[in-house]
Amino acid sequence: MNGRVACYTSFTYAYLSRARVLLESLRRTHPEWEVWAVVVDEAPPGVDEGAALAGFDQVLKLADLGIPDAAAWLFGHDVVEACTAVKGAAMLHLLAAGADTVVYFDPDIAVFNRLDEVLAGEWSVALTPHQLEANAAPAAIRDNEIGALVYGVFNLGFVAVRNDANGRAFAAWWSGQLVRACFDDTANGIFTDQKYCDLAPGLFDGVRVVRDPGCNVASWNLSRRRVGFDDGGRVVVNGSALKFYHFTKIGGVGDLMTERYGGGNVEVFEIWHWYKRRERAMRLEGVPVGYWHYGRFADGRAITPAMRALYRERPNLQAAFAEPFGGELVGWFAEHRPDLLGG
Amino acid sequence: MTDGGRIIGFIESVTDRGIAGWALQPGGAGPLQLSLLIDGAASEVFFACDQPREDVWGSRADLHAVCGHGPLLGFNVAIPAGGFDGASHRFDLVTLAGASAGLVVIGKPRDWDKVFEFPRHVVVGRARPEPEMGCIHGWVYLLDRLTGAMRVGNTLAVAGPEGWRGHVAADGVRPDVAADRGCAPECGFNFDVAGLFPGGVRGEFRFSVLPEGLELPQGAVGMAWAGVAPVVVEVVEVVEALPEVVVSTDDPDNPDDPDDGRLAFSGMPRGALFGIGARLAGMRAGLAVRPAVGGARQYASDPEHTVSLEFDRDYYLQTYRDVRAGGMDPVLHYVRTGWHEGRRPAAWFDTAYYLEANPDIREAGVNPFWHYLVIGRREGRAALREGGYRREVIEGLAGEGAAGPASALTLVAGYLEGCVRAACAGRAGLVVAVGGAGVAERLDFAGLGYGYLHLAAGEGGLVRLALDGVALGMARLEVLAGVLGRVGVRERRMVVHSLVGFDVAGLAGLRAGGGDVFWLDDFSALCAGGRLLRNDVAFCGAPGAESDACRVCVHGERRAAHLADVRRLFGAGGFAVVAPSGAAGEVWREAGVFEGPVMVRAPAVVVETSRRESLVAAEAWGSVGYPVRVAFAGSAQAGDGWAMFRALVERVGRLGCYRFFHLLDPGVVPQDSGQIEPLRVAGEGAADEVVLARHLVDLVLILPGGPEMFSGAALAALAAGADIVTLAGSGHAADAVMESGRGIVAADEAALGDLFESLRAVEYVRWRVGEGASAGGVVSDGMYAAVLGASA
Repeated sequence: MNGRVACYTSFTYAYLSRARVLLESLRRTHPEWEVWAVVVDEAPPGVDEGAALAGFDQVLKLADLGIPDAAAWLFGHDVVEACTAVKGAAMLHLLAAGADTVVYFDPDIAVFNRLDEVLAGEWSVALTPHQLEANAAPAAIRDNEIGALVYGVFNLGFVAVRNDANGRAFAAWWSGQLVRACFDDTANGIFTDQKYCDLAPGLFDGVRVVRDPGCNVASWNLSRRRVGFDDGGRVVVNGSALKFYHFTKIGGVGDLMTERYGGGNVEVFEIWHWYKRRERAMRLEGVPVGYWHYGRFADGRAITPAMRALYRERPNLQAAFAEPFGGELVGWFAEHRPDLLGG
Repeated sequence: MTDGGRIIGFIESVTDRGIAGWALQPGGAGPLQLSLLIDGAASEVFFACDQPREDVWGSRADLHAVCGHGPLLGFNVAIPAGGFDGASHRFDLVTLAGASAGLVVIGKPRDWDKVFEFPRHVVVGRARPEPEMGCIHGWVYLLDRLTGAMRVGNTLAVAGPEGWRGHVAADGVRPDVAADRGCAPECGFNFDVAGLFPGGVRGEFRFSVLPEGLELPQGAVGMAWAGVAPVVVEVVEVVEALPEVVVSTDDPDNPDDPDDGRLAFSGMPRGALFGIGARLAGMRAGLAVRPAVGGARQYASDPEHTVSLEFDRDYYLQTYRDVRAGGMDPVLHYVRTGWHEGRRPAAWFDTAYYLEANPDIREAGVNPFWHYLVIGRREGRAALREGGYRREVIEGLAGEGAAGPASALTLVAGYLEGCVRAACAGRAGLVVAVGGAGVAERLDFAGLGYGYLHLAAGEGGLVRLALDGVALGMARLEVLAGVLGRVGVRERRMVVHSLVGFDVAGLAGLRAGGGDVFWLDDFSALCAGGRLLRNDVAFCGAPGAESDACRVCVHGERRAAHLADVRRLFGAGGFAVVAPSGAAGEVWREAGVFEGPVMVRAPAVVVETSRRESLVAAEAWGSVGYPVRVAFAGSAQAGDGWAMFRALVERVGRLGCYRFFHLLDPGVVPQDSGQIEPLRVAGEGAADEVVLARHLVDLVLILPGGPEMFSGAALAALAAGADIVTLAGSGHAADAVMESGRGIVAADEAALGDLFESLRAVEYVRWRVGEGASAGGVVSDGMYAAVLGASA
């Protein structure tokens, strides 16, 4: 039914180690899938891109995605916005390349068991809600449910489409929105690629809301999911085999929220700790922490969010500096808006 | 335990709440029907053992083949009124056909004929502080369980703080209680705290029902706490912000009993505020209990006052001796400096954790306990890191590549060769022993004329060698293989006890051929971790090497390679696999990784030579003078249950009925062991059974994280005349209880805590003391050598 499956993830080199854990987990569970890397970055000096991405079947760079004025467009995004903004275009690319089913995973996800049941039957678009069960505690409602109302009902760490009319229509619509405006701008009702998908069940036929508690397990739904092991050593979540776990913001606020909602569920922390070990093991020497080629001008100065915002709001700047990462734009900032210059 | 192969079951508890346990008839069509005999006579109590007991069913796979009605095999039958006449009675359970089902507290001998005395009278009541009114009011009546009569109009003796004594009449009219309970309404009392302590008072008030006709003068003796909590017959629901009230069963008609008929609770009245803490006290004095969530209590914004409402003064002063020595008010200490130092205001609140888990609170710089009480609790924030010691273990797990450096100096091959040649000269052969302690085994083989080269795992793939008990030093396995090849020993046998830490592929090079023995002393043939504890926190049962469990486990990551190495080690053939216990053989067979027969031979046995008898009456056990002596047998590691033991001590240590020890050399036990006392002096080499017997230990705790292949501690306990307390699933340790009839198997950690907290452990020891126990020694009677002979 799913035919040829193309699975992809979008990342920068800072997340390469996570993407490699995802890749390893996909090879183990779905060796028949093609795995594509969408890399919104350039390799750090001294790092061989071919070797770094060797495990992936295919690699797509920004230039492959057909986004007009790509450099100027990219300048308007921070790293999270950029990595999510390309997801729609990449989905279209894979559908055009002939995949029967396209599956997206965030790079900080690891797949534990096959998704055959999740992807079985008739559907065109598959989405996983942040929450499958209502919370009771005020803090959990605030963090998880109000949070979902602000950032999106569905978590776009996972999305799958079939190469049918509905699936293609969704991909075209989503891609268009993301190229137009994929920003962290919750005040205006936008949160990157995610909030748009609140509209998907209304706009498109064939949207499957995946209600398997073994999918997209993460700190935001641990308050209502119990993780354990069955006799055969399989990880089960509320009785269902764990399909994939989203290790969101591990090492930072993800630790905190997992602590808050993992509570006494010791098995959660076994898995969490495992991921930290694997991620460490998958790090590549020479990749600086937090590295992003497009985070700085050519002269090494940091590009601040305010500079990005100003640039994307000012068509005259875009027209004058079509290659904004070079020296000219930073010169303009130095002269006209020195207050926006970073370090 | 079986009865002639016909009935299987246990009577787990006999209390005034009833007789509880489980039983079944193997092959029976349905749940077993039993009836109760009192003093050998029919009682007209008939019942079916048909209550669900998933715990038994889950831990006793052997029942599955003989019991067609699944886990419906439990019973809990009430004691008939006739059992409450205050006299001694013997209870028996028999089948309807008359066959005795035995009366068995877990692990008891089949012919046990224990008699029980249940107090005829119990006190039922409730007390409730009223801060606004400056009083404590409540109700109480005396229940005669033989006749069902409820005596009201009692006089209550009151023991207050700072030695204050007085009494109050409980004859006020309470129609609400009468309607609810069916007693006469003259059961209420109202104790005027504000009138007696106009300046306020902080402390505990205990109420006791006086025996009829006895007046208690001010300052009367007889109110002292003897350290043994009476059995709780009714736990009155905890009312938010009010102390729990529990009721004793002691006979109020016995004025000599210092515990008679007490009704106790605690409060913390204080001046005009008269705030009452929700800390629970009374019969469980000192136990840390987490207060209920919710309720309508309004806290003041004054942190000191708010904190004081649920602050555990006893806990604080006992835990932080510097505060006690300094003499500062503990609440004040906590509010001013204690919370900044990460100290806990009560066992149930972890200050440091709360700040770590809630950065918003940390940044706000407010007192975390105050925050929790005022808002954090309602928000659902956790008071302490849940998951217990297992979380600490996981956080401490080492990752890949964490192996230590190979820095040890190694033995020169020529020197090693000379040593081995000298040891083998004129000998029948050489035994190369891998892992394990080896002393008993070495002596066995010495008797047969074998030299004994023992290999212990060292750092960096090296092995630590001892030849005939003399330490030689470190060597590489390939060097040792070369030496053994050159020496050309007449007969060389390998005896493996554990592969933990060894380069298994390298060990294969030491094998000379057939006639070798592989002891299943641990699970290292199945997993390099050796204990089958997933991430060192949970027994995994050796699932497939490709399972999720192995994937996320620190030991599982290399399990497939390890199994391949072990297969190569076995591949040379000629290994006789020997299990030191039936439990070990069962785990090995169930794992299904290796084919072939398994021989079960215990390496040591208990030889009974004497009996342990007590000159002190059994009833004294569990009092301050004769606390039940409990020793933990295991290392100070999570996998050996050390953290579980610590948690148990923290939970019940202040009851005063137990005294806790550890069996290890004090040099290897953490310094902050609190109330846990060492049994040995540093460096003392006496056998465990000798130490246990010398210190008259009653109960030996064996709390492994998974099944024990062979529990030497269990044998030591039995040889010392002590009983074993262990957990279901502890393998040989649990089997030793079942086979010997000596000890208790708790279903899990929670059940273990309940066993001690409910004082059933005291009850059990009293029974044991009354019965007496056999004692003797642990001997290894040439079993190692005999096995080697059988394998040849």
